[in-house]
Amino acid sequence: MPKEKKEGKSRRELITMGSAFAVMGIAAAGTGGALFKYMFPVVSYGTPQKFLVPVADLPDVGDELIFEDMKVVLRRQSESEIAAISLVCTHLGCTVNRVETGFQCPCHGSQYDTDGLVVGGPAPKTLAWLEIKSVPGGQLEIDTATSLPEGTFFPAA
Amino acid sequence: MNEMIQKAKEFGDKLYYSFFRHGFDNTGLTKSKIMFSNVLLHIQPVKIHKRSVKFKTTMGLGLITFYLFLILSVTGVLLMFHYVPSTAIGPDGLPDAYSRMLNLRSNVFWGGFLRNMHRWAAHGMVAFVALHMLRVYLAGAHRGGREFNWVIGCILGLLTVFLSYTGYLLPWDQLAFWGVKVGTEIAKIAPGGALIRGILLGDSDVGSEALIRFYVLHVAVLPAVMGFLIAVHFFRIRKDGGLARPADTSKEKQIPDEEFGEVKNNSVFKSARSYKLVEIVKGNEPKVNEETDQMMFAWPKLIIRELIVLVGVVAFLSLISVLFDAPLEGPADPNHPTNPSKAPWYFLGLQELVSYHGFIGGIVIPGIMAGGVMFLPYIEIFMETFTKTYRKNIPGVWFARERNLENALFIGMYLFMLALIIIGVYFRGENWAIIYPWEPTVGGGH
Repeated sequence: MPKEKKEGKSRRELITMGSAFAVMGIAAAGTGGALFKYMFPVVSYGTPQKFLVPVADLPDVGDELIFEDMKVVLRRQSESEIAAISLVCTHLGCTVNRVETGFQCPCHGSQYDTDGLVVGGPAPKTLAWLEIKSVPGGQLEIDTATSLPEGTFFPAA
Repeated sequence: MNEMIQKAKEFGDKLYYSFFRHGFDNTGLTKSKIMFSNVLLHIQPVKIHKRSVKFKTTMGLGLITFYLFLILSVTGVLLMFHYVPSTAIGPDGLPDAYSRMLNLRSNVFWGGFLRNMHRWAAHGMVAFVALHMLRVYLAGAHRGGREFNWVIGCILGLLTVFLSYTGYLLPWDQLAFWGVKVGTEIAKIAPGGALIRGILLGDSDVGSEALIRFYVLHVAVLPAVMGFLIAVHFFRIRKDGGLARPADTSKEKQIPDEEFGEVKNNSVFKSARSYKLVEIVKGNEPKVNEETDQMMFAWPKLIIRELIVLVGVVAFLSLISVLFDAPLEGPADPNHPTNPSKAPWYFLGLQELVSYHGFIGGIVIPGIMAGGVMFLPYIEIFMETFTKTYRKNIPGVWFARERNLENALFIGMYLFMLALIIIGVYFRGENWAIIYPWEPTVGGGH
C-alpha cells in the first residue's frame, strides 16, 4: 500500500507545518500588536487642550483677544456674551490669520468670514467655535478640543 | 646585489598576491578573476551584453540614483556627529536642533559644505528616481519577468520620498516645521490616517516627539530597509539576465570589438561564456551560449565607465554645494505659519491638488497614482490576458511602437505632476494666491 503510506505522510506533514506556521503567525501578530501599542503615544507633550482666562482679562465689548499659543480668538459680543473661535484651519490644520474680512489661511488659501464661515478656498467646514465654562476663582475655561456650531455664545462671567 | 633585488621582488609578489588573486594581463581568465575575486566587483557579472554600456540604454540614471544614495549615507553619517534631535531651548534661546544647524553653518569646518551636499543630493535623488522610472517604463524594461522588480523599485521610490520627508524636519526651522505639519495633516484625511499619524508623530501634533521619531526613521530604520531592498533590486536584475534587452540583438549596431581591447582565449572551452555542468542540465535557465559575440567582459570598460559617472556626480554635487547654500529659515514657530507655507518641492504637486480638495486631491488621486504605477506591469498583464488585446512587448527598446498608448499615458502623468509642481513652486504666493514668479513674495519667516 505505498499510496496510503504517502497520503499518511503528507497529512502528518500538513499538520506539522500547519501548526508551525500557526504558532509563528500568532507570535508575529502578537509582536505586531505589542509594537503598535509601544509606538502609540500615551502621553501628549504638546500644548494642553484646555486653558484658563481670568474674567478680569476679557476684552472690551466688540473687541477681540488672540491667544497665539492656544490658537484661539476670544470675542466679546456684548456685555454678557462671549465666544471663542478656533484659529486652526479646518482644511489642513494651519493657523489662520485674522484679516479685515475675517480669517485667511496662508497654506492653501482658505478664506473665512468674521464668524468663521467658509467663503473661499478648499476648507470643508466652518472654523470651530469652542466651549467656554465658568470655573471657580473668577476664571473661564476654554476647551480647544470642542467644536460647536457658529454663533454659540457663552455668558461672560 | 642581484640576489637582493630578486628577494625583494619575491617579497613584493607575495605581498601583492595576498591582497589580489590575479594579475592584470589580457586573458579572459584574468578579466573574470578580477570581477569575481573582489567583493565590490562581484556584485556585477563577469560578462555583460555590449548594449549595456551604451549611453542610450540606461543613461546611467539608476546608477546615479545609487551613487546619490551612497553620498547621502556618507554625508548623513558625518552630519550625525554634529546633530542633536532635540527641541529643548538652549542657552542661545534657540531649539537645540536648530542651533546645531547654525553651528554647522558657521563654526564647524566643512559643516556647511556637507550639509549643502546632503540637501542637494537628497533633492537630486528624488529627481533621479523619477527619471530612472520614466526610462525603465519608456524602454519597456518593466516587463518580461521583471514585473516584481518594478514593484520593488516603486517601493524604493516611495522610501526615497519618505527619507527626504523625514530628513526635511530635522533642521527644525520654519520651512521644516510647516512642511511636515501640512504633510501630516494630509494623512489625517485618509481612513485610519489619524492612527498612522499618531504613530509617526508620537503626539497629537508636530513637536519634540515627532522630531525624535523622524530622526530615528531617517538615520536608522529607513536607510536599513532601503539598503536591503537595493540589494534585492540589483540581485533580481542579475538573476533576470542583466539589463532588459530584445531577444535578438544581432542586428543592433554595437560598439566595435576593437574598442574593448583584445582578449586572449586560453581556455579549452570554445564558448566564451561557460556554465560547465549547468550547460547540460535541462531547462531554459540560465541562458547559455546566447549571442556570445554580443557579450563583453565587464572589466575594464564597464567599471571605468561607472567610475567616470561617480566622479562626475561627486564633482557636480561639490560644485553645487559650494555655489548654493541649503535653505535655512528662522527657528520653528508653531504659532506663526510662514505665508505661504510650502511643502518640499516633490510634495508641492500634492499640495497643489490638496488646495482644490482635501480628500480627493490628498488621498484619492495620489493613491490611485501610486497604486496604479506600482502595479502597472500587472495591470498591463491583466488587460492583455482578459481583453485579448495582445500587445507585443519588446523589453529594452525605447518607444516601441506597440506601446505607444501606454507610453503616452505614462508621459502624460509625468507632465501632469510636473505642471502641478511648477505651479506650486513658482505661481503660488501669499495666501496661496496665484502670482507670477517675478512678483515679490513675503513668504519665508513671518
